[in-house]
Amino acid sequence: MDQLSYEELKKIALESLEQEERVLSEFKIIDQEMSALKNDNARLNRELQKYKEFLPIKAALKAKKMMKK
Amino acid sequence: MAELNIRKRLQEIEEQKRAITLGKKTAGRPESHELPLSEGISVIIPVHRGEEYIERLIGSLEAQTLEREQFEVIIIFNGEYVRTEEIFNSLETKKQYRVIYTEQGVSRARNAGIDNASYSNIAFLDSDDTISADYLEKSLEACEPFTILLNRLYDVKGQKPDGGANHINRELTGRDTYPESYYSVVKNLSLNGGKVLPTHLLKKTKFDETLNNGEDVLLYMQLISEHKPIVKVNPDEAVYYRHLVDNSLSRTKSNYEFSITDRIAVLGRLQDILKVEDDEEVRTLIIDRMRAQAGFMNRYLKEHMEDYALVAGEVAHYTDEYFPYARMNEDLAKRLYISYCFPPYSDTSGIVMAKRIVERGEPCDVIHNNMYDVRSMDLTLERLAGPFIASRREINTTSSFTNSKYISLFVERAMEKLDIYRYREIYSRALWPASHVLAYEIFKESRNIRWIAEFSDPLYRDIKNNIRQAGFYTKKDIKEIKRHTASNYQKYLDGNLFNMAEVIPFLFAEELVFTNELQLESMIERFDEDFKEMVRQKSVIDRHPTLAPEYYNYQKNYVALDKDKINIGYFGNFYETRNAEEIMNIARIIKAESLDVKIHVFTNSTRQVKSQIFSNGLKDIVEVNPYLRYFEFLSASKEFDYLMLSDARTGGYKRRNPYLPSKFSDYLGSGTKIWVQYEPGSTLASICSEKSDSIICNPLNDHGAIKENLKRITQKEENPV
Repeated sequence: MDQLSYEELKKIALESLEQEERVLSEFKIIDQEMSALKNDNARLNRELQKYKEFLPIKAALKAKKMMKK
Repeated sequence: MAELNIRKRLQEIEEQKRAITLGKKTAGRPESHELPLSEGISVIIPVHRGEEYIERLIGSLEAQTLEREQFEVIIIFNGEYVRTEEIFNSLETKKQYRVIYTEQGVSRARNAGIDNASYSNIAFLDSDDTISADYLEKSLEACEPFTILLNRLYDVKGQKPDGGANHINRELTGRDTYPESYYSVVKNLSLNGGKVLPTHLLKKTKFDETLNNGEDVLLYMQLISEHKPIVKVNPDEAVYYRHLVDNSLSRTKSNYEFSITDRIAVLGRLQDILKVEDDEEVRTLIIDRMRAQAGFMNRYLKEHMEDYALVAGEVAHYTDEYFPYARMNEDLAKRLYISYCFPPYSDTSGIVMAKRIVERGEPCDVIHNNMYDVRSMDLTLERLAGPFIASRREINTTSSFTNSKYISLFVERAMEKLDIYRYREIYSRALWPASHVLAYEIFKESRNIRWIAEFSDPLYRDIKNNIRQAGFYTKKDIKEIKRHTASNYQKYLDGNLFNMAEVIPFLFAEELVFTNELQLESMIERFDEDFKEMVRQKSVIDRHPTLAPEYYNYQKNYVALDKDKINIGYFGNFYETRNAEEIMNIARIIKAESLDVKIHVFTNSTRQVKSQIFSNGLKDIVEVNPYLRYFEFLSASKEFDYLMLSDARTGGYKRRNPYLPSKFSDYLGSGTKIWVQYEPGSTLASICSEKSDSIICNPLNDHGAIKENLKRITQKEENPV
């Protein structure tokens, strides 16, 4: 380390930061996709809940359960 | 993933890099000094016009049961207010009122109110709305120092309150006092009505004064992103009455400014928050609000498709973070693209299809196969056609170029998923024959549909001109196809997948697209003159599209060039008809002539090329790197002095070279000079015959011509530093 010049050290530090930046950028892309998918799932679950709470469907689901018994 | 704080760390890295480069320390944030606030509520009311409602509003405030000393009303007159102020001054009031004046603008007015607030909590009230007499008292009882308090919101139409039967209030019904997630009360976190917030948070995070509307959505998303406050539903019923009037925004007739320009402005700001937000829960919330904004755009576009190109142009490059393109395009597609392989799977043919979508610039749906077993995934590729896609359906089948079982399964599942009658047009593109097989199946069902078929490469014959064979169509299928085929063309029908993947589109597609003239002629040379003419009549030659310069800046590249040398980039894979030996030959000349030239090869076959380099003692001249992903490649392509492109070698196999490398179109958009190694008679050769300052050419392996071109390349005047 002691033999490295200031400029060489700067170069190594920058390279190391760039490597980290590259890897994190990859993660960021996956994370972006993940949050969009999570939103899709949350939205679909909310819609599903709405359907379940809709009275005629609620009644039909109950009837289906009874039939199985 | 969120625990990594990806975006925060990326920002730190950016700052650290800047500091290292400039040799400076980064400045810390100045600390703010706040004045102490009294326990109570500041009610902030911006008033512009409002002469009709001021009396009702003051009546509602005068009726408050909360002690006079525990709240203040800050009225901010802005815009037109003279008449309202006169009425206000004529009213008898007992509570604490403070009046301030600002220029017109609801956000500016509210921010002035926040600046002047002297109580620990803030309630916003619109001048045409009212609150129940116990609203402030019950709110203050429930207020907490780090909590957004949600109160009941009733809509009032005419004189009748709806008793809370509206979608905003319903979100609070039966909800725990402390909701488990922001998302569960997302609609309440999008408007000011019914909220009481800690003043110290609002003094740090204020309304965006540049927005015409949507400022409330943005404020709440910013508050949540920056402070992650607790949300609490008031267990007591304190009611905010929202009086719906005819000119309220939700009833505003859709116009371009409100539905498009203003929405894009809000979406841009929300996207800015996403760029620094790592918390998944908050991201989900913001994405939901972005989708809601895009819903306005979608409604407008459904009525004004003539404005689509304008809108798409405005939002095409908002791709750095999530943008709700699919919501914006929902149900707008009249054209279906069928591409067995399509992004995010990395595949040249799929990328070209995505570029076609960009080139066309219209909303569309896409159907493709799950190619995970044979292709790597590059999620950034979704940025390419994503802005135009309404619905992208992925079919889960084992991917195959030839297997009839898997291709049939793909077609069957695709047909189950598609509502084919909603489309006016289908566009299939094949390198992978399954694309045209599915397109024909759709065409069979809906013969009025317009079918455009594009060929990436010849299918029936491979690069060495061998006939490809794979059984696919049964005798029954062929009989059925014959029923719709002119008798003189029936002889070309058989069960071979690769024959039929050419013949069926030739017969039934309304338009055929080839990337070059030689491809067309090469593919039809096996037919009789009559058939050839029929194909030519409906054929279009359309080279691979070149993307706009913006796409070349989508991603950073980390390519390290040698500043003291001429740097030549070669991007591509090697195989029998396009091998690395050509690069080695050039490198040998560079070595023999002691030229200051370096060739940077980007390929999937790094080991094979490295072995050749070391065996030939060319390691100082040729550098081998792994293949770059598409947007990094585009970005890197701008950095070189020259980009090298080679024809596939077809001499000895084919009468004509039907291949035009699609890289050529990508190179053209980079602005970098191109060095072409062409096969005589090829499409690249004819491009070379057109004089151009940005392209230099020589025949493949022509030693003398290569030497000449290297001389040109190294001449200083051509490459001023």
